[in-house]
Amino acid sequence: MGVMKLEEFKNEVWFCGCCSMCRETVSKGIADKHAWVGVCPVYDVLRFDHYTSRGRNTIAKYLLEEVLEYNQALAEDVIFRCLGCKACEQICTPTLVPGLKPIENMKIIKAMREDCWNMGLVPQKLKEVCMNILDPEKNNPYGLDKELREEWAEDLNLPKQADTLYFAGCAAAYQNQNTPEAVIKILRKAGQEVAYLGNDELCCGHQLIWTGDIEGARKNAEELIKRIKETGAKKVIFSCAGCYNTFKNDYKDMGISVPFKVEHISKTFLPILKKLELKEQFKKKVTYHDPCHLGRHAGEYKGPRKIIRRIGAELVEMERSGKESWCCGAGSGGTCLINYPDLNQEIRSRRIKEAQATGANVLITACPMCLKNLRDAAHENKVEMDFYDLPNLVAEVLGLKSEQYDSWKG
Amino acid sequence: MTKSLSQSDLVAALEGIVGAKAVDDSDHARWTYALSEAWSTVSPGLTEELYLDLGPPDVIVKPKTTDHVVDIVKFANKYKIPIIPRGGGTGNASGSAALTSGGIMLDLLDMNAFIKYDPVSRACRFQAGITWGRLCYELKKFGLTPGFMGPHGIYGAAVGGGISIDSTGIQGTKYGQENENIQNLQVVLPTGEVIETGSLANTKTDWYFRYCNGPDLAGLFMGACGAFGIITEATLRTYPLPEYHSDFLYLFPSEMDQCKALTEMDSYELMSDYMGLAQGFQYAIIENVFNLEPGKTQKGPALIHTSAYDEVILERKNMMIEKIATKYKAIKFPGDPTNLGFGAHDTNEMLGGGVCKFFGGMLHKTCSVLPLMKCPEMNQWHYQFFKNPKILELLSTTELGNKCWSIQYPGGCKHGFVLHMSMFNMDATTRDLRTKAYKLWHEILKQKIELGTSPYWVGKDAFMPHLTKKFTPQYWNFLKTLKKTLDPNNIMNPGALGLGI
Ligand SMILES: Cc1cc2nc3c(=O)[nH]c(=O)nc-3n(C[C@H](O)[C@H](O)[C@H](O)COP(=O)(O)OP(=O)(O)OC[C@H]3O[C@@H](n4cnc5c(N)ncnc54)[C@H](O)[C@@H]3O)c2cc1C
Ligand code: SF4
Ligand code: SF4
Repeated sequence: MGVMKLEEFKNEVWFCGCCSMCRETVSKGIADKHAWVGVCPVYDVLRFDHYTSRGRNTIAKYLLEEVLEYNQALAEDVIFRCLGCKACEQICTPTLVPGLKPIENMKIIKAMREDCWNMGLVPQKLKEVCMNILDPEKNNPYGLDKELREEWAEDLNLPKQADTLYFAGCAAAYQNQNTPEAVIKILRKAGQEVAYLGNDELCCGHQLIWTGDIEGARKNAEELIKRIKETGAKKVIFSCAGCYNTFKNDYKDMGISVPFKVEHISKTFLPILKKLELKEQFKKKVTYHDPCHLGRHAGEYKGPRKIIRRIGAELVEMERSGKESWCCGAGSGGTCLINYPDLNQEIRSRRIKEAQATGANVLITACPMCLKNLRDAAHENKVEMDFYDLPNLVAEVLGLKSEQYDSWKG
Repeated sequence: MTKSLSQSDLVAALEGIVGAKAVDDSDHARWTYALSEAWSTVSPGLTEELYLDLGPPDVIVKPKTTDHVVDIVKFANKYKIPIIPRGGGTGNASGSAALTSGGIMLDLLDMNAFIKYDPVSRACRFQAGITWGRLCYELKKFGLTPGFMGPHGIYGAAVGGGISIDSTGIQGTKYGQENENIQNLQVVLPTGEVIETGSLANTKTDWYFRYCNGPDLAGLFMGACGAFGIITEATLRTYPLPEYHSDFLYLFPSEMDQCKALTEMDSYELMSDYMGLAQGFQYAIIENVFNLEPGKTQKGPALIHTSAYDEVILERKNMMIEKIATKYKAIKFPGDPTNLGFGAHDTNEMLGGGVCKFFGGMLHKTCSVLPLMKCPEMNQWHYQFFKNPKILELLSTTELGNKCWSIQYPGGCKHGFVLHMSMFNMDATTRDLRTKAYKLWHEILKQKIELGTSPYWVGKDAFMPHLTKKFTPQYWNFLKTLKKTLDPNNIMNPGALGLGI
């Protein structure tokens, strides 16, 4: 009873050999093909096996065997505490024989969350986020007025129809408005005009998916894709890592077809930067934080780094970067930030100290959620750094600094 | 489990020792720790055999210091509560799972401090819950390696777990298996006293050496699966990191030639590591590379890793290897064998669940130590065993034909000994199939014991029930007397080594 969705992943669950690599492997400087210094940020803080994929897969075995049952304590303590950072899946790709594939830990956790959703075991705060997203008067996770969404674009006169559409996403539109503005200014400087849905833009449903409301997510996605199709766009570009991955991978996993090309701005900007003259070189020592949903989930590591090098910055990597990067602690769609603020605070503190240890005085990332979370961590830990979302950085070197917002540095 | 103590009193007492954040007795936590490595189905609640009378621990505790462990052990003695020490929880014999119902599960992974490197004794001191990955990482800062680098592909296993299970593994060929590199142990005895072994038995000594000062007491706790006490700190020898490396793949005309050649190379200490293959999935890749007719050849491939501190020495070693290989009429793989996806020096290897997935079933491994020269004989038994139509029928549930089982010997030990590893895989998604697999697994373990193999997996299940039948009464009594003397209340991992049940 009650393990309907998990049942679909029964084989995956049983393939987990409980080898423990997804707990806290350290291999940096020891192996040449991977460079881990710890794997699961939640385990790193809480230190019990049940917070790891290995532990959760064990619990899944017992759920499938009806030795354990889903309950509120299990949901709150374990199932919703995972960040969805995918490090545990990344490390579970053995290099022994070509063709080996990892345990699909992300699908297992999503299946468990879907079961929890169907049984009414979702933490209240996350439920509220989902209700806000599906509320036609809001359509965003923060419960803010729908009409505020396009405020950032008020003076930009963006068309509703074009070959390419820019999807700003909720975090940028409501919380980090200088990012979408920067995107548009850069594209215009390069002679590219993009459409924007304005108040018709819906949340991509990232949080719905990660909270287990798959039916809600499906309806939302179908409506959103319909609206995008109506613009005639053949390509949609994203500045938010979470929205990009939702369109690129999550919809596909849900069997929803996406009838247009999707692209992250790190790819869009590179040819622009090659073509346009920089107003000034960014002669600073910087470090780059890989957003989990752009890196491990969507496989994009090189694009942002090429941009950073292109503008003349000196890039110093953190001890954990690329495939082995450390999550900022917000969790998929901010689920950890919302529901487990203490855990989030501890994880982000560890990450910001790692950034500080590089000696860089600028931190760049490519996700508004990571940006906000790390900036808050810097504040809490008295770390002196400037913060840039990728578009803001590019806008600055192209001399497109906004007048409207007082700080480009967030 | 704890008759004179309520669950809440038990938890409160433990919280009083280690703090509330380091104690968990939720149902989901207890069941998570009921299972160690799952490849062998030795898990309460998951196979029919074990289902009825077994269960999870009562509580999980994470000590940070030796003092914590002492206090927990003294408390457990007072109420006669079993303690199950656990490192990485990856041991295949369920030594670190609660196969008897209840008890205190001591998760030692927070005892993970690298204490110091001592250049005088060229050894390092650390808490026993440190993982291999972390230890190698810390030593790298000094340009050093522990030599033996842990079990294959398992960066999450703890050094203390390996000591307690006589671990074999990466670079054991060159440096010897883990316990050959141990200098000292700090142990909390089952009654709560702390002892230091070897050189540190003399309180005036501050350097690290295994022997002298009386009997080799460290040896008493090695391979003891926690039945005689909890290892809280340890000292390992260290070695400079070799700068030069190479890898080769040779294909020998027969398994016997393969084993003779490897033994000869080993006797001259030419190899750092190797992987001999007899049958199975890697074999299929090799057949492909050499254009061999699938399933028809009986040739023995061997991957060899060499290393040295000096380029010229490495060259000379490689020349000698080539000479021995030529003597045994081996063919050399023309390229870099690490590109085949598996190397003898497998610090890159990740032996995770992906292997099970590749096969489409749960792997059941039967690893033990054998002299290399005995491998062909052991392999022959396996070939016969897996030809049995009844066995084939069982395995065919995965529809993978002869990919369902494999035999390999990935180095692991020194002096002509090897970790002989055979494994089969079966669909594990129903209890019925798991129970069948469990029985089949035990059939192989039993036969391996009959053939004289030496298992290092001697927790509570796996080889142990078969092995104890082969002990002489004198040996068995000696073990039992030791256990009774050291652990009068029988609290220390009851069931491990077949003792104290
Ligand atoms: C994919 C895979 C590959 C493997 N390859 C190998 C291999 O090549 N060679 C090999 O030897 N093994 C191998 N193993 C088995 C296992 O990983 C090793 O034996 C490992 O050394 C066990 O360490 P652990 O920390 O996980 O021990 P655990 O499983 O936690 O414990 C093992 C035993 O020691 C006891 N124990 C643990 N810590 C202490 C302590 N501090 N004091 C006293 N008792 C203690 C436990 O109660 C238990 O009985 C493999 C396992 C897997 C899953
Ligand atoms: S997704 Fe991240 S937080 Fe969740 S279990 Fe895996 S590594 Fe841990
Ligand atoms: S999820 Fe993968 S890495 Fe983690 S324990 Fe299972 S098999 Fe190992």
